[in-house]
Amino acid sequence: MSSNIIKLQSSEGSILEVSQDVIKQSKLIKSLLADCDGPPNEAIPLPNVNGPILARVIEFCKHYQNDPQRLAMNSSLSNNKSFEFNEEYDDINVQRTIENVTEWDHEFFKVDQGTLFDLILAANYLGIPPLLDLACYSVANMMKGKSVEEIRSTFNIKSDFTPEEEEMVIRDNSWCKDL
Amino acid sequence: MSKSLEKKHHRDPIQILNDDLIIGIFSYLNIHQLAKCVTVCEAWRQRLISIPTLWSNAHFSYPIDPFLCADSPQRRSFPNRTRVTQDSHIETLATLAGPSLQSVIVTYGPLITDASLESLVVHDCRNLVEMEFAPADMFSSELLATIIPEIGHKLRRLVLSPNVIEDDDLQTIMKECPSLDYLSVAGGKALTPEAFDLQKFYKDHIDSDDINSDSELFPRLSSINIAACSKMDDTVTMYIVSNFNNTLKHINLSECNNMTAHSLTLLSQCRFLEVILLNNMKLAENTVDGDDKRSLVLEFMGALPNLRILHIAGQDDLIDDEMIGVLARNSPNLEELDISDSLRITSESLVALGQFCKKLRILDVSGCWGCRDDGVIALIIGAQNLTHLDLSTLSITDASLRCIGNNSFHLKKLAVDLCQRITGNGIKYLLEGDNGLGCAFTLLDLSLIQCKNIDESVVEWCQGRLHHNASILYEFGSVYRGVNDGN
Repeated sequence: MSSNIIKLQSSEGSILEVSQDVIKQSKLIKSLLADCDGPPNEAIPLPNVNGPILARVIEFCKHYQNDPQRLAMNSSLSNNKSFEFNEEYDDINVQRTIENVTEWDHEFFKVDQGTLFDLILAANYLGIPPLLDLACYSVANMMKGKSVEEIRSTFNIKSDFTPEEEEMVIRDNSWCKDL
Repeated sequence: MSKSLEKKHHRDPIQILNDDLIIGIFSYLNIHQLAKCVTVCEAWRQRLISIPTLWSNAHFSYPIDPFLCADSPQRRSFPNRTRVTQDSHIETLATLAGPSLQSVIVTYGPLITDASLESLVVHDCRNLVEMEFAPADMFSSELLATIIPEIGHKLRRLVLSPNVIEDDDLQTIMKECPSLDYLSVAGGKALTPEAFDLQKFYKDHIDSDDINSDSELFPRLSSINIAACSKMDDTVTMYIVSNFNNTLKHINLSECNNMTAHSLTLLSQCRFLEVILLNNMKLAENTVDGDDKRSLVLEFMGALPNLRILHIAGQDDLIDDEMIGVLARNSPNLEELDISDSLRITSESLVALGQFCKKLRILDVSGCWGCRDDGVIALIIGAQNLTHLDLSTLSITDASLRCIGNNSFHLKKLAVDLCQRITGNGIKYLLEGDNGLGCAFTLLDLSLIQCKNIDESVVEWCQGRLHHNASILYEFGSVYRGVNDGN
């Protein structure tokens, strides 16, 4: 076994082996490794991440291992650019956006909601910003352009407003009425 | 079993994620989508309205005219949806975001009053980076003077169009907004050139002890818009150039009717200028003492190496082919040009633009009757990146449309209103080219108003070819129609 390989232990106890070069995209693991000399012999326990999710995370890290652009990816507020006249000719939307979402990304995030939220939690825990941003973006896209009723059914939420309350809440948020 | 499966497939993000992750997700939504999410259920409502950061960027948008340079209502696309912002919206926003509020943009706010400004102060929105209220004419000058010191410290972009704004208000803005970069006070009818006499203002109002270095007295503006400020004359150009000549990149003097060609000479001292908007300034009418108006304009056209956008439409017989030739040769970065209603422009200008301005994306030559097929064809073959083109009223034929169809692979918007010689055959070439690959895939906006050789069957044929979101404007006889608008 190459000394470059380290072991990770998932929440249910399964052990996954991964190259340090791949998993050092995780800030958590990178700082753990920095604290000890050389690769640890023991598996690193990750009690917050289950085996299948950990495997997905490693798949993501492997895919972008040699893609510095994606690793440095920082989703940005579009209104941070310099101000000028006639910037855009289409409807301007001041909102955060990710450019260059690849075909591979789309495929990777074609998963059920449970997996998607587990990926968000794992990316947050392990400290992998590109994975976190893309996963959050995928969830946001489930809501973009949807009606309230569609959003409810997407997340299987029952409205607990009484008709009067609902009317009031809609009135208070009337800036959305024409969309 | 089936129940637990269902649980696995649908999970409520609000229940399982912390605030940082909620922000991570919901900050991809704009303010309208966010307001919609608030009405999903009580848990969502409570959670979303409790996180001010989510509400920090508010853009109350309004559909924008595809040809910004075209003011005529006939040429304006019908707005798909009209959303008029009101004081109550701004108050709700200020309540939700408080000091987190960074950006409030209202592009259509005729009903906005002082109450909006007050709510920004009441809710301590002192970290605003961007504030735009246009067109909002109901602010009172006194209130503006008192709230700008409260919320102006971090402002980088400020757009106001109140008729009541006065010289003092503008100087308050300059004094209280040290980070300001972009200032637009278009339509400020009470403003005079002295508003920009900042050297004098600081000499009069600030103790000389406070003055350390001249450069830090006022913000280093890069964009100034004083369009349609009717009292402005060449003096204001002089003040602006002397105060900001090292930072100024964008200036809009459109419809400042009292300016002369001397203002252009002054502007040519600002070596970083990229965007110059000078539509409908009556430069042709206003006489210049001692100098030849034409030679001043020629000098200006040759002195702008960084120019990207120039609007100099509606100057009657002032602009001619020699000027556009000089411009084209000296401004290789030109991306957008509006010279509509320039009576002396001929095909020669289009040939020069096609030859030298390879980056040209947007061109409006409507009403330049001297331009004909030979010019349009030379332009189209030279300038391959055109996305917006307005050829209205030109006496071009199907030959121009055929050339566009065969060569312009980026064209999004084309207007050929009142082009009496074009026919349905030309439109066919436009969309399909000679070999089936025309503009049909990119064109989103086609205007065919009052083309007498085109009838409804052509419009129907276009509808079948163009993208389903594309809009076609047409009017035959007296009926004004739009296709695919409002969907």
